[in-house]
Amino acid sequence: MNAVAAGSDAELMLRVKAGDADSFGDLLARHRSPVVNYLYRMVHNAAVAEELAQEVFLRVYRARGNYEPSAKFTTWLYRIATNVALNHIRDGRLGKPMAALDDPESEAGRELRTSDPNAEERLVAQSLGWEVRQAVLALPEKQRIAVLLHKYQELDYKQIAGVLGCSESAVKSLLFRAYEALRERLSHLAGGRS
Amino acid sequence: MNCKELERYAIPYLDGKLARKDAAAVQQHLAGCAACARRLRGFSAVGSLLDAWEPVQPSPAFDLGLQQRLRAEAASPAGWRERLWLWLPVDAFARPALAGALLGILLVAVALTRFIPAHTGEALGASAEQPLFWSAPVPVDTAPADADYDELALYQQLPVLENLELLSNFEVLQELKTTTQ
Repeated sequence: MNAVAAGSDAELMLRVKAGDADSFGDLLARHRSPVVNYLYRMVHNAAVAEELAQEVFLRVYRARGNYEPSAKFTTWLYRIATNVALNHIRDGRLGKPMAALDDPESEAGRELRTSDPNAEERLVAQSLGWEVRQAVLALPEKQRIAVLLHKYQELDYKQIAGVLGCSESAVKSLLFRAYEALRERLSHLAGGRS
Repeated sequence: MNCKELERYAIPYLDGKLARKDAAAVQQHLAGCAACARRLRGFSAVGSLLDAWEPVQPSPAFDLGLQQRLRAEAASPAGWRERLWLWLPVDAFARPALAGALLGILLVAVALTRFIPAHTGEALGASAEQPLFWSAPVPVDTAPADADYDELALYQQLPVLENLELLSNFEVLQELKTTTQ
């Protein structure tokens, strides 16, 4: 992938629209990892997330001719990613998570650790990650998307509203209810961290 | 501010996104409401817990697969058309007009190919024995009486012969013929 490119996402996308293929490589370098992670947290399967992320970027590339920088690029990108993920989930293709990289049972998950904690610490960390995932997965669809976009993708309220097609005020309420549900569900863990 | 109103301000407050005036109102409410204060402390703890869900790194297979799909997309007919548009020195806004003009030319060409050959045939002096798109009915009295007529003449008279066969087998006419006899 290319080094960090100059210019905003919208500027790069306009260059892609004008036929500059290298600018699309720059956009990929910026967004490939965040989009794969967002989709991974949506579908809970790393291999499927990568496949869906390819579809997302392919759709962006196909739509380059009609791109107009009326909204922030990331809003458009995550709207596409959300639609792709929801279509996948609603088609009933959300089966048992396979090779989930932070699954306590996953060999791949163990290999991903950057540090090398002892076995007990590792087990605790894996168990915590599993409980957090299950808590987020249990949220209603819109609340789950709002939390993922807010916490992990660091989108602002306006962008999240653009992805979900609702008002900023509704996003703040969604997030409040989502964090309240997570607080209750993870209360046995939160005590030791707060 | 009451507990219900806090719902819209709680997350922006924790994110540090509130205006100073609104942040002060939240702090004032939290100072007098132990339940809301406990709730927001819980939200902060949840935020820390969510960090336990570690990110993943896209695999080399992802990059390779995406590059292959993008190359295939660029090589597809749609991609070829895109490159053609880019090659043509036409502004993007003028493309629909150019496409319309090309379509118009194509329609005119199709229309001309449908009508010009008929006139061309007459101009070239095509004989009555070689009709182009239709064959004029041959008068009955010009039909050959013997078996020396050629096959082409038979086909030309086919409508007449068919009518004759139909009329001769028409029961009403048969009855009429017998009563007149």
